Amino acid sequence: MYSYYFKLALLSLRKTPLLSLLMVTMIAIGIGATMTTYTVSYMMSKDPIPSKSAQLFQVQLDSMDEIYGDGKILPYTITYQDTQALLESDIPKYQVALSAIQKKISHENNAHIIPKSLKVRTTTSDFFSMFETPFLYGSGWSKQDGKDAAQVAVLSKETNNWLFDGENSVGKTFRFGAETYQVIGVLDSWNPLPKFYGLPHMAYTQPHDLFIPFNTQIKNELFTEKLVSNACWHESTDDSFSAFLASECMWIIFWVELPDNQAHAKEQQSFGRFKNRIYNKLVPLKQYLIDEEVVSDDSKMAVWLAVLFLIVCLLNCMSLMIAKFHAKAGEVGLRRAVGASKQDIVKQFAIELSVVGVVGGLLGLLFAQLGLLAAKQTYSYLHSGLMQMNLQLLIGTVLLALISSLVFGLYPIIRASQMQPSSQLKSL
Amino acid sequence: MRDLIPILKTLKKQKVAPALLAFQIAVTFMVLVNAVYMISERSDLIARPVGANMENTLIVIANLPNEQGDLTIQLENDLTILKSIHGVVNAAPITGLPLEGWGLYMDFKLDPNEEDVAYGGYFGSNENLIEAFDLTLLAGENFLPSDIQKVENDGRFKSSKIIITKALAEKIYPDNWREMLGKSLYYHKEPHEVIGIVDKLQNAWNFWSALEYTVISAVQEANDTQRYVVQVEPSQMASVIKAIPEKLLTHPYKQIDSIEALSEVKRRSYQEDIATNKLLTVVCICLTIITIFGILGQAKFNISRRTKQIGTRRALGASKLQVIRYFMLENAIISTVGVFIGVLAAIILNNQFVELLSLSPVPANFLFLGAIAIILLGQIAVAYPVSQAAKISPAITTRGA
Repeated sequence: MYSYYFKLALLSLRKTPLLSLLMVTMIAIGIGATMTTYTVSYMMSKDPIPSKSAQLFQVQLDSMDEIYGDGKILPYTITYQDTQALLESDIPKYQVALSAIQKKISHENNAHIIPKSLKVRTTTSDFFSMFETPFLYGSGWSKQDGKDAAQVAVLSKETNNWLFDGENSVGKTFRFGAETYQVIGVLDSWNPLPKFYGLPHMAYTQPHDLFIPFNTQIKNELFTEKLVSNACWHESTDDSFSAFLASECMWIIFWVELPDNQAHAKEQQSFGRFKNRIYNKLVPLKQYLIDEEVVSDDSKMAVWLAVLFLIVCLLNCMSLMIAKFHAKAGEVGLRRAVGASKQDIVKQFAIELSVVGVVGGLLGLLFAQLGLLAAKQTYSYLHSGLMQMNLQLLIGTVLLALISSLVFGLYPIIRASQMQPSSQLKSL
Repeated sequence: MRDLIPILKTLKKQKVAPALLAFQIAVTFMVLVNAVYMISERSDLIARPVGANMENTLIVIANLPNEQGDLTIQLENDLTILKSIHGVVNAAPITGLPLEGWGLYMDFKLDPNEEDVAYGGYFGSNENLIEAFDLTLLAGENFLPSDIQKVENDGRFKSSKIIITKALAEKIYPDNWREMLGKSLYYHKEPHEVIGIVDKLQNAWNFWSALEYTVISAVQEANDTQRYVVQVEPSQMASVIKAIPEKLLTHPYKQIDSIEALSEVKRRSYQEDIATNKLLTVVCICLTIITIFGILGQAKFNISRRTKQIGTRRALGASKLQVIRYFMLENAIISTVGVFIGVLAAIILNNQFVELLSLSPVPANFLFLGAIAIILLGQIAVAYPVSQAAKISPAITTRGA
């Protein structure tokens, strides 16, 4: 029976090619627009590290005095002295202090490789296990290397391709400014989206080009103001780097992984200098992404507009369906007269509409891909990974087209099935 | 107007199709009005003048490597080189850039023991900055070379002479901004004498309420990543951009991070807004096209269904113009109903939208203009099928059953 209805549907669509094409295009355009904007928004708000996002917390400390701090909104950076105190703690499973610097990187002896000024993530040894970074070669540095401020580095895959032609470069050395650093590991492609661990306004950019131990930055007195969020509410005693480290300047991002609630409570009580301040916070990863408005209002608004846009397309389609079924009144009358029930008519037209919906959905998928290509151009400053559909979204697109065309087709179908056969047969 | 009653009767008889169209027009209206308003708001924000000469100001960011010794001496060398390039009017160092998205801000007091009177952005530079940005000095005077203090960092903690923007002076003395001249502003507990007031200079963050409250202090900082502002003679831009790396890269540690026009810094600052405006424009255009198709299709369907009726009317003496008028009026009524629903929805939903997406509510004149535009759009869309309808021959009544 259904295969017969399917054949009828194809026949009917072929009989009115222009109308069918218009309907399919309407659905496709609406679906294309909606899915383009939804994809960007969905990818922006995706859980960047689903396996452990519930166990990752950012440490925010109420370290400012009454005049500067209002206690409610805390900065997401902390001071160097608090970082040192926190790193002593053995409560968290992993803990990571983060900063960043910019440095000129060059090959040791190959003059053909033009030196580049690269962004360097400075961090502690737990970084790689805590954020589950994939390694192509080697591994992260040991706790001891971190403590000793060893001049070692983990390169991103791109940096390794540029500097060492993609070879296994573990053990090789390169120039870091005027110093020599040794490669200890090379990451595989790694693009957490959003890049939750760094500065919130950089959440949709690539991870930095290489990673060195945090203490190495401190020992060599390296600092790049532009790559950190540095809030100083109290002047340092003098211009020296040690005075800066001892100051109240907050510029280090600190993450901890806490395996259970007990550790959470303990960690909460252990905040060094500020035991009694009630505003000290362990901010869960997901909350942090919301607090910092990592998903922009613009992208949410775009989804809303696109949904309204889809509704307009579907309403348009609905008018077309009414017109189509109106024109088919004679056929319905005939079918009813020779014994088809109302349900049969409903089934027949529902299948016809499903065909329209699915074809519209597939075409919409194509439009969405084109839309995402255009979005990649327009939003060239955002990570291109945001403009890619995953399997769920692909299936979702076609389903959305099917369901919405059936929902909006419900009324025209029922109206067509309610038709009195006699009124139509008279005019035949 | 004789047509009004029959039209209303017809609409009442076959509610659904016209209701759909009206609803579609309502949604279109809502989206268009909101989108156009957002576009215009954003364009206004982007159009705000920075205060500097946008065509001829160049920004150079280069390093001052520790390996080469004293940073201040290196900075002075760089400035001498930049100024010596043919086509350069003047060059100055600066601690941050307008609209860079990164910078320093201060809380200002008139009296160190009292409440803040304002807050604003901070740039440290020297006596050449006004010429390097091509700023307009409205009152008071520029720094003298002897006013300039030279430090390696943390210049904001020094007491110094300052030049402020008119907007900041007006914020503190709303009645007479000139009163600010000669007074001292306190930040970081140090006094800073205001010796000049410039017309305008935006600071680091384009979304900030204090964007135009800017202080230029006479403290020149030498940082390992150093920014220079370079004013270039008109039409010398290309040759200066080419000459800078040739002249400035004097030793192997020297590195230039970027050479770009100030307008490029501004474009990057607003890139999200520019992209959103593009998106909104595309949505508006597509939506308009789809709605025109909808109105067109609806009109065609109606006319094809009423071919006989039109023929009869023509046979009974109605002129072509009367037929046209009938369908135009019918469309105008549906559009008006749609716009009416749209306005209601806009008013009701606006509050939700405003809260959900932190937008500002659409003003009434936008709703009004939008309404007129949508009704006109409907009339234009319906014009073609209606002109076809008017051609229906009265003789059609004589054919067939």
